[in-house]
Amino acid sequence: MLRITGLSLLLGALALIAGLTLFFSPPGDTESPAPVINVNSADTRIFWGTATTVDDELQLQLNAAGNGVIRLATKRIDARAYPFLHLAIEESAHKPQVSISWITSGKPADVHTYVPHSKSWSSLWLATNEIPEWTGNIGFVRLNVVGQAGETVRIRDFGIYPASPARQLKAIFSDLAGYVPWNRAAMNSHTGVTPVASFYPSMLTVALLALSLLVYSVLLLVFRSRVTFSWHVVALIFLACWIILDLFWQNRLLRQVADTYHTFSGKNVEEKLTVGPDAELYKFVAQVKPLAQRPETRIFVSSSDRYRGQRSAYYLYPLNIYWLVPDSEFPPDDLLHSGDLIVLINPTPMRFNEERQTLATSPVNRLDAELLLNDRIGTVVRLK
Amino acid sequence: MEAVHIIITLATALALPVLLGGLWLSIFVPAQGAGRTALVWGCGTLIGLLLIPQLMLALDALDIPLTFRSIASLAGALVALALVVLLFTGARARFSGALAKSYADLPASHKALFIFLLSLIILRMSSLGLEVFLRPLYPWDATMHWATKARVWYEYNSIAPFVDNAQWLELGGKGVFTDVHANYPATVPLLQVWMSLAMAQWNPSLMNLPWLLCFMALGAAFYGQLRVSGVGPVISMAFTYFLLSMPLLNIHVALAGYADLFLGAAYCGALMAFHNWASTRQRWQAVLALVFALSCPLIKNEGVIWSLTFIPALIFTLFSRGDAAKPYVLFALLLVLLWLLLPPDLQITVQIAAHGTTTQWLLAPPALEIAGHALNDMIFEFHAEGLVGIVQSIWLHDNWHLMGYLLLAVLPLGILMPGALVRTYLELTIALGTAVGAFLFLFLFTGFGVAASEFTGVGRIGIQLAPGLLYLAALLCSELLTRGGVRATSGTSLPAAWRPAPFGAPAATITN
Repeated sequence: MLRITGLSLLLGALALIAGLTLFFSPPGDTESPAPVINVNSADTRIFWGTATTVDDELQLQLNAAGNGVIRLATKRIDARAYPFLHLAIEESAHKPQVSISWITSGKPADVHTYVPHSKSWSSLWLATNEIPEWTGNIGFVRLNVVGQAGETVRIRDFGIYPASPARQLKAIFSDLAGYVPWNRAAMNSHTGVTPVASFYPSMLTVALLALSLLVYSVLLLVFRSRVTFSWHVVALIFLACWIILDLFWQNRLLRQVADTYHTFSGKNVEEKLTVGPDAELYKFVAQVKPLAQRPETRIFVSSSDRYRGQRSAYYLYPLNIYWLVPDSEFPPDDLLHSGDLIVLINPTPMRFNEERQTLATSPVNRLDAELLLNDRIGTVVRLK
Repeated sequence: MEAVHIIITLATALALPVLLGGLWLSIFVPAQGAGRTALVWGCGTLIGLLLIPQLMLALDALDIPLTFRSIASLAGALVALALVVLLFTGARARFSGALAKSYADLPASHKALFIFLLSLIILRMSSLGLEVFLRPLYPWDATMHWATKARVWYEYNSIAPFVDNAQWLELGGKGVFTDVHANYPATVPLLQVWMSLAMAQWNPSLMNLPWLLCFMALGAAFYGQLRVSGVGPVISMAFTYFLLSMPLLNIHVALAGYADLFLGAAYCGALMAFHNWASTRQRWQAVLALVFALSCPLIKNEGVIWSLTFIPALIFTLFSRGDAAKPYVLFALLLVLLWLLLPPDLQITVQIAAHGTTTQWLLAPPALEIAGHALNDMIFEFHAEGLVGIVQSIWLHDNWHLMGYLLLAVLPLGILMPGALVRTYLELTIALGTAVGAFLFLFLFTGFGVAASEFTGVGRIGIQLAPGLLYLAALLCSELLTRGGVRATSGTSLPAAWRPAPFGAPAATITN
């Protein structure tokens, strides 16, 4: 039973690979493939930062502003001839930001920038035909790195490549093994893909499952004298497909755990919040809290940005908070009290007039107030 | 020193719900039977997690300040009482290794697969545990209307009332607090309060450990109840792995703070116990089902819909199909009649006054809020975009791995299996069918179509149903593999200890 299950899965996987490379290969001239253009090409230029080559690895030292730019090609090339882009950067503790930019024809030329969704840069293969702006004649393909001043970023490869079955499979694997950190939408849905991925992992797994079951049926027909149908084989094939799909998810979880560990480990509660995604809001709120003279002081929190307003309100609890949902009306004057705090988180349409000591809550409404705090994140006033 | 203190109090805070539910359940579950250990500690932990907040509510109603000592004393007393009862009724027999015996009987290849799947589950739990342990509260709704309450209640050592914005303004904020959904149930925030009280600090990471505990308990309960249903150890473990590996379920543990995981666990717990009660007529399973079903509305408002799905299932279980159809049809007609005759804005309210404030419970369906949207705002018309969203969420995205395809394959086979869906698993089919009907109605015929097309509510409500659906799929798969096809068979292969007593006979004997 195990043998026929394994054989079905193996042949199913081969059939899937063959199907993907034969019927879903990206457009491109495979008869006379274009030459590879990468960091080792002759006309590669370093614009910002300095580079040295050590053992086939480009070591890019960022400039004093923390920038480094590598430009691949100056001449115009047909985007369709380069359906794959490869980026291979050694992991570093500082986690620099990376983006890829290029220009397309037009007067003036249009500049496009793509920030890789996946943070798995050890060997990231991108199917460029999934990037909508990778079209027509392109040029000046650049890798932009932003990090700490003087930091050395080790680049094993950055290049654009013509079509080949191996590269297509590598791009699919990159999609499957890619890592995207948690985001706000994670609680609602897990698509399993980035916006530039070629295939949904569940679809690929279902294709593997279907092909493996097809192979099993063929094997049953071919070896009908020796092999009889068993639901257990079907169940094992299904289980194997589930595990394969799940291993990619497990890999992503482990990458996330490593990332989370790097960000939060060894820190106490306060320190965690000051390095988390709401660090600047939390630091601002920490200044606001002492301004509430009594625990029962009422605090109204307002912002045009739903996320920033709500998060600030949350960090202000256990004080008595009233968060004004964006586009909701400010409470009428008769329901406001002297001593109430109004916390305005930028961006906000409300303005405090320092000269007149009034807060404009709408184009026609003014409240007498005193300014308590004003910085880049927001403003705090107390009603008189 | 402080770290040691926190570890001890954390361990105590996590152990108390486990012991509270586990020991009490152990008294009533027969001493022998496959999967007993997993069932007792899995279901027991879930009950314990639901019970601790109710104890806190009771203490608060008696004006006793919510402190770790007061709650732990009450819970500890109940644990001690359970221990005393167990000692007098033969504790040793209850903790003998039924699981070990069923495992020992397996062939080597099955043992290897069992261990492999268990290892994958342990790896998953470790990964999620580290996330919970390290990351401060992150998800949106958690900071909008769950942890806001927890933060205030922890600070004031009492369940200070939360009212809606308008009422808060009218009262001048005196003695009341407000957030976006002031009327959401207290169970989940009280779990965060419980953990914070144990640590004597507001810790937005460690207060979420009950989510990990709930996830582990759901897995254990799922395995245990599958074993009770007569499913073999390997298939039970495989489906437990399926359940615990679903990405969206995992995310709700890693980014703890939402109530959907608890509601999914409670509803699945109720379904499993209900099915096994219907199969074995063991009273403790009926009590278990009742406890879980009644706890659904205590977790999230929409839990009341899942609780109501047991009414038609119960009717079909207690009466013959012909008799059962009559009240079901009458009930449906009555609902239609009420809908046509009653004014759409009718609300039945129950007011309970305490602590100088009034808590108002709205009993009419229009008052229900699901994922922050009031049902009385709904206009009933077909939303095609909702259908696209549902299909993508279940069969295209990786929310549930391959569960959607498993259901597509197994449900038709279940229909083809003589007697499976309409007899052996009838009560599950009715309850889940009603729940899925409500799910589809919500996303296809109300404004919630947007929540499906934008992939917001559909995944979260899916969490509440997915464990139950997977349980039905596991039973059907087991049936298929046991029968060797869709041919007729004599029925479920329940282990001897769980075989049904005739209806009306005493509950299963407790072996001392």
